[in-house]
Amino acid sequence: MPSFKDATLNKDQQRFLILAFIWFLAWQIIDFIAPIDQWLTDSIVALSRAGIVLLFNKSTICYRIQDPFQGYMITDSVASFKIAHSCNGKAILFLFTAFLWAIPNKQLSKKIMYTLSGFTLIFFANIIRIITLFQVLRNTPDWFDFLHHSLFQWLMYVIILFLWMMFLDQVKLFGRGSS
Amino acid sequence: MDDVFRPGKIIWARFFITLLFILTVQTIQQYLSYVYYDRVCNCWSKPLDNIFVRFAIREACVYFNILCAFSQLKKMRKGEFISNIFLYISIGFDLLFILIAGIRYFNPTDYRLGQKYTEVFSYLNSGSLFVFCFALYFLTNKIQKNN
Repeated sequence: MPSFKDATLNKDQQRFLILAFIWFLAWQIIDFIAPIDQWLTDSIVALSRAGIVLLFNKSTICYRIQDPFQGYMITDSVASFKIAHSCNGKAILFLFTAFLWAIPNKQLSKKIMYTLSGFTLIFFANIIRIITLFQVLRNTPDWFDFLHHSLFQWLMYVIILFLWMMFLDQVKLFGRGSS
Repeated sequence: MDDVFRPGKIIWARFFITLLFILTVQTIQQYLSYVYYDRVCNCWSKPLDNIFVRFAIREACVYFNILCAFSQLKKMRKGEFISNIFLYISIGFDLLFILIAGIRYFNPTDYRLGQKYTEVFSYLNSGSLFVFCFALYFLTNKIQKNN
């Protein structure tokens, strides 16, 4: 097993790791108490269906898969698509905020701003992902698995990493970032 | 394999390829589930009908991904520190995964437990921890600069 002997952890680094763990734990407790999954999945299904109507002019039927609840089935005459709680991006949101709030020496207002904008961005990116996957399933189902399990997940991580790095002033949308 | 980092320069391609590699392993694991799961009778077909075989495949995928990400993180500057953290977090999550799997074995109908099982597995197998630790590199740099 590797050791930390050679690595020097200063107080800020130790604080970050402990805080990240506490935030992650807090999220798990909130998740246990509040119906976050239900709210997230419901919103994502509703907005994805609205997006499909808006962008592709296709109306869909939505079934709730019960006993036990396994998610929703969105279907039209061509394709059927299951959206479970695991598709709602909750795990990514937990990780994103745990990292953000554990960073020491940053303004509270900046953290709140990045949390809200990050949540919104990840949430809507997920909706776009679901709408695109539905359309892919209707037209080119052979590509569905690759897009679902690889490409879109990869893109979501790029978004998160980009947000984290923006927060750390490593990248700037306008102008050069610090090295 | 090349370094993820060279002095003063990050090889982003290496980072993205590693992430894509992790996701490909995940896809293969999910493809196996897709092929061997009979949706008509809601049951597994051989050889994945045994719960321990499925668990062993999941563990193999997880450790293959951990090893791949660990070797890449180790090549970074201050790599020892970050790769060790990655390894410890991953092993911690894996122990949690095994614990939940054990409880689930005796209580397979608990839906909440099933969800946590999937969630923990997704942290381990999806590359999100790799991204987290990669971002940690920038934070470490920032902290050291500030000090």
